[in-house]
Amino acid sequence: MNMPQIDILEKDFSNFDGVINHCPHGYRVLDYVPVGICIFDKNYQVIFWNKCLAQWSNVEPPDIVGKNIIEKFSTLNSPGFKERVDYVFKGGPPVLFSSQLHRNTVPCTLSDGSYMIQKTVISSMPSSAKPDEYFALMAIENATELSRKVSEYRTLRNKAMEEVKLRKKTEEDLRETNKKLIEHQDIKMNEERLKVLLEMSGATAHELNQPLMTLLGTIELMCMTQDIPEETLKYINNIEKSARRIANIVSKIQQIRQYQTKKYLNDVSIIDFNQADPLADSSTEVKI
Amino acid sequence: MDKINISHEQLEAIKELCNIGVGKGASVLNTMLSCHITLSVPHVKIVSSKDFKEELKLFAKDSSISAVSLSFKGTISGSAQLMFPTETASSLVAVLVDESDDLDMDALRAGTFCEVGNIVLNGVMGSISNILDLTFDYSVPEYIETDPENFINKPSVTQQDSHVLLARTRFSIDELDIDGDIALFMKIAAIHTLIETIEKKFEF
Repeated sequence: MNMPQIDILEKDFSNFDGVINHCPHGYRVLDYVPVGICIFDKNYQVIFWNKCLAQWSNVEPPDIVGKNIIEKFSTLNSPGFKERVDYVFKGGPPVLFSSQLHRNTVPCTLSDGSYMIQKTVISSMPSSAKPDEYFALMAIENATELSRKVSEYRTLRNKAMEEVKLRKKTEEDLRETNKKLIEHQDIKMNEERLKVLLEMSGATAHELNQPLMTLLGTIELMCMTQDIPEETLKYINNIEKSARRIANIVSKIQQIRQYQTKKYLNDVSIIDFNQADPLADSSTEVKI
Repeated sequence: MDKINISHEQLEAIKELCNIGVGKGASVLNTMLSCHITLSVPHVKIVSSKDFKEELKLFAKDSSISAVSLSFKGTISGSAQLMFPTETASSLVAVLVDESDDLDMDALRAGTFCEVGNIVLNGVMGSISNILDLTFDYSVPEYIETDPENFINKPSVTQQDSHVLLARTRFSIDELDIDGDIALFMKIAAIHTLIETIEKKFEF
């Protein structure tokens, strides 16, 4: 077997009879390490309990040495604990207990009343007295500060993530509002244009209708006159055609209900008079 | 000795040892956690450190690698590692502790991942140790997070004659299926010793 032996463990183990009423002298050096140390045998009876662990847990060595550690601390009676640790007594690999899955192995109250969060490693420790016999060395680290720092970091990170999320949503809302505002502006502008257009078309139609009626009436009277030369009658018919065409345009102006333009020459837009009547003559248009 | 000759039966025996080991690990995890976890080893192979480098780059994709490393010394010496791409490792911990999946692999998660790795690797090493009657001296498991290139440059991987016994392990937890690698880094001589021990034990 290729097992390294720790010198301090060479002493006192020949006297170990299962229950030790005092701390083996060789372990005393473990009283000076800043981690909680406990050594127990395969029956889970405590052999050594260092000063650090005594201070943290308020359990003095005489109150725990020789007693069953699982019976003393119910936190160790969790599912899987014994199953994992049993293998340590056969020389198996160290067993880890993380602070997230096991808040603590030995409950220790801190000055603020909260429980210490712990990280625990239980390692196999060969006995110098009996070959193939192993003890369990439980080393407990105080992971409270680390856990608090990580929790603070997570809180800050989540807050930052929330802020980023909120900012993205605000930006999205702003874009949407801006889009609606532009749409609203377009609608208002079109309404204004239409209003002006309707006023203009109404006035135009009204003002043009009066002289147009006079013109058409006069043409009709002229046509009823006897002995008009044929050449003159031809001219009168042309005047009547144009007057009726003007009457048609006036009628279309009266029918305008929306502001609708179409392209004209040189990038100029003109009001589309044919909007209400798609079959109407496309030559009837007004430049704006 | 610079080449590994291993028969199909020997490889199957190693696969069986790994399956027994991860089965024990799954059993422990199921007693500890509220979710149900199934572990299996679909295939096992032995690759050179050079080939492993390429495998690891493909396995990690663009992520860093998170690993739990357990070194052992004895009749056979080497290092056992459970490896995942870091994002996958973080997702695994998130499922196991019922947390949201959008957190980084911080110190708390690294500690939890280290415990999960410890349980799985202890199962595998315990299985090898018990069934083959081998005794090891173990170091305390440690968490490693690095990019694949740095991981590959570790001395244990880059040694000229080191080989890797690679066991692809499937973690099935509720509806999540993820693959991790259990890698046993050993020198060629150690792998030969392992194969010889298996031959004697199973009388191939």
